[in-house]
Amino acid sequence: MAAGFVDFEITWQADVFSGAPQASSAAEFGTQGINFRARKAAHEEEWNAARASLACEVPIKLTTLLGADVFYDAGDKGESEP
Amino acid sequence: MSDSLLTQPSLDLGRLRQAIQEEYAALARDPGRGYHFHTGHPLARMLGYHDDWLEGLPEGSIASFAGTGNPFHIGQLQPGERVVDIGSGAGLDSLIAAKMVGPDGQVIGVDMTPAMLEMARKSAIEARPGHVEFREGLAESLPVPDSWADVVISNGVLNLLPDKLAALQEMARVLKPSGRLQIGDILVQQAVPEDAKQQIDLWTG
Repeated sequence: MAAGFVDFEITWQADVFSGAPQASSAAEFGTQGINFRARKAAHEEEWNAARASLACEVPIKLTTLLGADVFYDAGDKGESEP
Repeated sequence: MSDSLLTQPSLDLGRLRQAIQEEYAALARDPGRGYHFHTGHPLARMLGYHDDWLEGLPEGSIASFAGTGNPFHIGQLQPGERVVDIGSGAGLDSLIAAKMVGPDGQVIGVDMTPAMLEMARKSAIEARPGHVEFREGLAESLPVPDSWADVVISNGVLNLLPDKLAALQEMARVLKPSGRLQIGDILVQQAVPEDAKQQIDLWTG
């Protein structure tokens, strides 16, 4: 979660607008009431650890990208794959 | 939190705040008018507020209550804790918090709507908890010192703020390390198109 919070959790979710005296213009987007909690990280190390655990591992390797360029060049030249 | 949730739409912030103030000033003056949300005792029951939490609290604060969740359902506050209630409205959650933290605790309610602040202050005088005060201010620039609070509560307010990251950063600023966030709010189950986010009526209604 942004801004230094950890342990984010939505603890409850329900339709709290049905039956209200007036219709809500936001109802078409499926608005629901929620309760959520989070905790401010105790210190920088905890925040950094939480961020690291959320980080998405993107399996991009520089060599693969370079390799793709090599394939392209090889194709241009009518050569087979290296 | 994904970037899309934190993206600030380019709408007129002044106009939005004015529209929100008008809506909630009307709620303070005339809670029975009928809005696009539930209010008062029926809403408090729907959201799981315990009868003993409401016992002895001024009827005006209960009648103008318009939360979307229940910050106390997440975890009751402990005696002696310091609490900030962001967007305290008519003051109901602040007064409940004051009951829970007791005379050794302290509660600061912050709201930007003068009519709501007036009602909350009147209710605080009536309820006489002695350790709750209401301050005028914005969620994005809270009139509260750094690392002051054990708990930040809020109910149906974050969804009204275009710059949610700024509000969350302020919440983090006023909380002590390991301080708790207990929030009732709204989520949408379908993505809201960018052009719809420019419509003030969608934010307030």
